[in-house]
Amino acid sequence: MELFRYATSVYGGRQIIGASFDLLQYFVAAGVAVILVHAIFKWVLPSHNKAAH
Amino acid sequence: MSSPASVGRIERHRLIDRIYHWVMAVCILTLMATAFLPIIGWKFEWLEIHWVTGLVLIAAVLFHIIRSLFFQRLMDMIPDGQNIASLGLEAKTGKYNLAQKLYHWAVAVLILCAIGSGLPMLRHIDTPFWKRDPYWFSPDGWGVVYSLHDFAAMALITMVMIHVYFGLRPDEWHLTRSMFRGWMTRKEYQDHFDPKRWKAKEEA
Repeated sequence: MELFRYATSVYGGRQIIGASFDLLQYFVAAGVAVILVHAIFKWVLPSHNKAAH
Repeated sequence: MSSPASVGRIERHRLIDRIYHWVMAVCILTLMATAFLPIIGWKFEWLEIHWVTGLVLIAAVLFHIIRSLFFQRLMDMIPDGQNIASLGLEAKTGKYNLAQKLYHWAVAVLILCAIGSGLPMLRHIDTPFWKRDPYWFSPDGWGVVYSLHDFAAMALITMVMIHVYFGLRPDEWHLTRSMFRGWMTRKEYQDHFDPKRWKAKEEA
């Protein structure tokens, strides 16, 4: 897994040109993970923020 | 059964602040669509829409910074002693709970990073105002600029997903509704908020 995208410079060396978009899936997965963990947490545990009546 | 003390509406967001929020939302979604749809295969002329929308976003952010510093209570968005002591688990909060405050500052940093790296990129393209200058930075310098922009943009995808999720949760509907209509019911206010920490006003 690469963190960056590379190009070859005019001098023949490796040049960073930005982040690797292969990482996109991990950022989406992180969002899904936070959502799932929170949803499960709210479903399983009793709410301590239940509205007062 | 509702008592007289629990009827009525409480103002949460004024019209100007709701307009700001939705302008910002449209900008962010447009920027993300023009950034990532071409990457995942949907090719179209995205660049002009992207940088013009970026300028609109900058104007919106400047508006928000001025308004929040001079016309609103900045302390509403700063974690306070009770947030920290209860780790954000207090039953009733101020106007924003700890999670909302931390989320706001995380998104602020990411958006400022995207703007701060996006602005120099304008020198990399032709616009009606100037001709491009690809030598404004060294190749290494452009690499840093583009990397910051790319990472900030991808992290914002995560943040937008989380934000939309919370906006759609039924137990948060009173907050979502207030970003459309501007108000919540007095009962919702009494159920969720501590009036000592958020002295809300009746809806005008």
